[in-house]
Amino acid sequence: MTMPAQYSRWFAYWPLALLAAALLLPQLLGWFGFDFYVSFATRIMIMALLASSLNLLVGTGGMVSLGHAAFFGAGAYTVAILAREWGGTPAESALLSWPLAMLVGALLAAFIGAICLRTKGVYFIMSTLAFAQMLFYVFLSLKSYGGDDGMSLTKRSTLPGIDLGADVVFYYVVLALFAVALLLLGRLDRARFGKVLRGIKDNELRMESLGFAVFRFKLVAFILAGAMAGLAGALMGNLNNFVSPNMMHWEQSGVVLVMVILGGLGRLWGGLAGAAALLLLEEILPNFLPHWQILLGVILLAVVFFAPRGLAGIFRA
Amino acid sequence: MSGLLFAEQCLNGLQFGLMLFLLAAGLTLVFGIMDLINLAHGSLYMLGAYLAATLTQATDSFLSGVALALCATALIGMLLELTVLRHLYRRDHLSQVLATFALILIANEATRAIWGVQPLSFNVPAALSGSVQLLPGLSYSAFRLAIIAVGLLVAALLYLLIGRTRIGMLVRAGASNRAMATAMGTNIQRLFTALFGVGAALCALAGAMLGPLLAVQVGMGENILILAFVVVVIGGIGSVRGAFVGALLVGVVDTFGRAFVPLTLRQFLPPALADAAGPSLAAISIYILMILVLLWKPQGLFPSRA
Amino acid sequence: MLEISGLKKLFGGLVVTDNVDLSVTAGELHALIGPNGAGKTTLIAQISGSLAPDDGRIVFAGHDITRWPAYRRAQIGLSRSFQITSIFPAFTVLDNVAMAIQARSGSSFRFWHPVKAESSLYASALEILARTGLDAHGESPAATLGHGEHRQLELALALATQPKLLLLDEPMAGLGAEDSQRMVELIESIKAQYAILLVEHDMDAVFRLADRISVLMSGRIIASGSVDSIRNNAEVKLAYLGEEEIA
Repeated sequence: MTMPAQYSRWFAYWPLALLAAALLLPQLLGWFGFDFYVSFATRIMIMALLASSLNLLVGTGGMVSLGHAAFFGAGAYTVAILAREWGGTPAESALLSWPLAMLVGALLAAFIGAICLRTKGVYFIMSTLAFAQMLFYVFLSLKSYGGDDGMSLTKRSTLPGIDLGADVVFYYVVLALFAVALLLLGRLDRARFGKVLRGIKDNELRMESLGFAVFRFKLVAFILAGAMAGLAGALMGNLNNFVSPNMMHWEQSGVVLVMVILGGLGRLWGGLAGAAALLLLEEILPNFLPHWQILLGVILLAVVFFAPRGLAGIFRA
Repeated sequence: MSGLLFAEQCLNGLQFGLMLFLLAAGLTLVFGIMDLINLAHGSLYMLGAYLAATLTQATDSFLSGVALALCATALIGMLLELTVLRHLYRRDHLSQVLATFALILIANEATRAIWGVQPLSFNVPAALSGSVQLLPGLSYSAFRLAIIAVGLLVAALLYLLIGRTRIGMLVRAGASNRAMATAMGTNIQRLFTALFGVGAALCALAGAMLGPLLAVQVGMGENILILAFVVVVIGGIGSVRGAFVGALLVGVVDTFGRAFVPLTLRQFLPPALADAAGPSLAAISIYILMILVLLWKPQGLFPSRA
Repeated sequence: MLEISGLKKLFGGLVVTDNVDLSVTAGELHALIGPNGAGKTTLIAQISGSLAPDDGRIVFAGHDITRWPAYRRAQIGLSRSFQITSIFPAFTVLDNVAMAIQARSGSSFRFWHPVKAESSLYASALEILARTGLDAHGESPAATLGHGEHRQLELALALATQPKLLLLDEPMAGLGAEDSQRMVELIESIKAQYAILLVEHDMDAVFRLADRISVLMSGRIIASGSVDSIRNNAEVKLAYLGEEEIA
């Protein structure tokens, strides 16, 4: 669908409108007495961050990973373990534990990517899945860190002068981080690196014969995505005050992949669209139907057949 | 470690592997020929188990229950192919992932709607509930032996069908050169539908046979689906022979892993550590197997594609 | 510029490249001809790096590139065009060429500045488009081009990386008379600037463009020399050109 010309000029400013709405959201929800939905909105943004990081790999670079949840879980556990082992010290500070979560995600991605990126197609999908599952089972067996019961955090990470324990405050911090991430992803997509990734997705062989060291570009993308997913994990662990091995399970990877496909592969807003759509549907539908998952399935099928470019691809201004 | 224990675990591995083969065979052909990633494959397995459980109770006969479940699931599979899946062949893999994921949601919820959320009770048929003395000191469940027998029989039938018939030749040709297969026209479309029905029936058979051993509940499909994909990758996409070898490998490695890794670890690690690490290492063993196979043969053991 | 010695490749028991010696000097256009199945594309693949030889040596611009990966060979000036068009259908024609230019103009590990803002990149791309006759199609999605334009784009991509050696694998594949003529004129115009190894079936083109011709049959070079010597070589005529008299 393309937008009629007279609207498309105004339509170009919609991200600003969305930002304004996001800034006002906690106030609006408070007026209507829906304060508890602030955390829900935060959850959407965190999942959107995770989905956007996967979109960089899958949508832009054509690397379908079914093990992305590994970095998500690793980031979450980094924060939780730091708080457990070194509670009451600067290790609880978001300024330390969150970047560390990103670093853990990046290092894990460097290791897993270095091995898996040597394969292609289904073999790549399965090897990423294998590594994520292995990590899942490792954490499942770590009884000292909760095992399959998971581990709770006594409180959220600390920031100087800001109380992340307040849901509204935490919302704005996540909003800021997500907005910055989206901005960076947008720049990256239009920069040389983004073009190379898209070129690799389009015709990897030709990129090699033009002189691009394809493996290195893929690995760097993998590492960047892993770092972003690690941050998302740290944020989710904070939101729930809880981490569990399920955060690394392949079903979690599957849900994120579904969000990306639903939202729109390779589209900047695909991660947000997919995460928001799926989470909102899962929140709203149960109020209308007892067997709402059937309707959810039908909606997803409809998107596959009638909106093949995903939700974010419906309008092309 | 006693020789009898070893023999028993071999049989368990064989039994599990043969059931995995039933699932993997359909999956590898659908992926190899139609280039379709079908996540709902596990849902057909689940449906087979549920139908077998219900129909066995209704007809008071395990044999009838299973036979009817096979037919019903095959029909459902073919219906699925005709209505939804056929339109996915020309789409990219990710659209297939999303669509078949949607089918899983629908199937799981429909199952909950019809049968409720509690696991179904599905008992081993009375005639097979005893055990058989295979060797002095080794008695083995009659039902599990029956599973092995059925599995081997089906494997033999598939071998004959694919290796010795015209239809089988078309299937093998299609697996090694999909473009050729799709260029051959409408007959191929019917072949695809039939192939899907057969694959669904195999899933149902696996579900019906494993149902009494594992729990018949929603979500059982997803757990085994992953193993089926691992088998397909190890065996080589599009190769039924590969699925057979891969399934037996996975079945044996998984069974041995669960049985012996914790025991072995206890030999040289403190018990607390061994008990903690044991189950995880056992579960990981299949993935390590897959990665090792891929390192040795990047396209699987018997790649059917040129 | 390019020196191949004793190159050997086997697929199972079949010898597809049989002790091949070949050289191309700067400014020379060396044509490689041979019947279908002779092993021309396999040879090109080994030179460009997408296939590893079993034996022999490939020396390019003073480097032994026998075991080098394809991208590294491209980085030191070895460029290839493909027999089956291999472009970027998701991009516009201009962006296609800009991608190739980007490959040889500095690092692409840049994450902030938009590529479209790099005017020098696009100026060079436009210049390549003009040289290969595609300037009218800059903004068209590459996927919408006709076959003739695809072959032009194929050549444009190979030229855009400022190569020292061009491997042209059947640039005239599937082209009609008019488009073929244009392609021949195009190659003629750029001949002297590069070392070119041209694989072609179109004999008129070969005889017009080549400085030297080598004939490949069943993986072996059966003859190599000037255009006239090959034209008059009885063995070559019999084995490959058939009884047809070539003027």
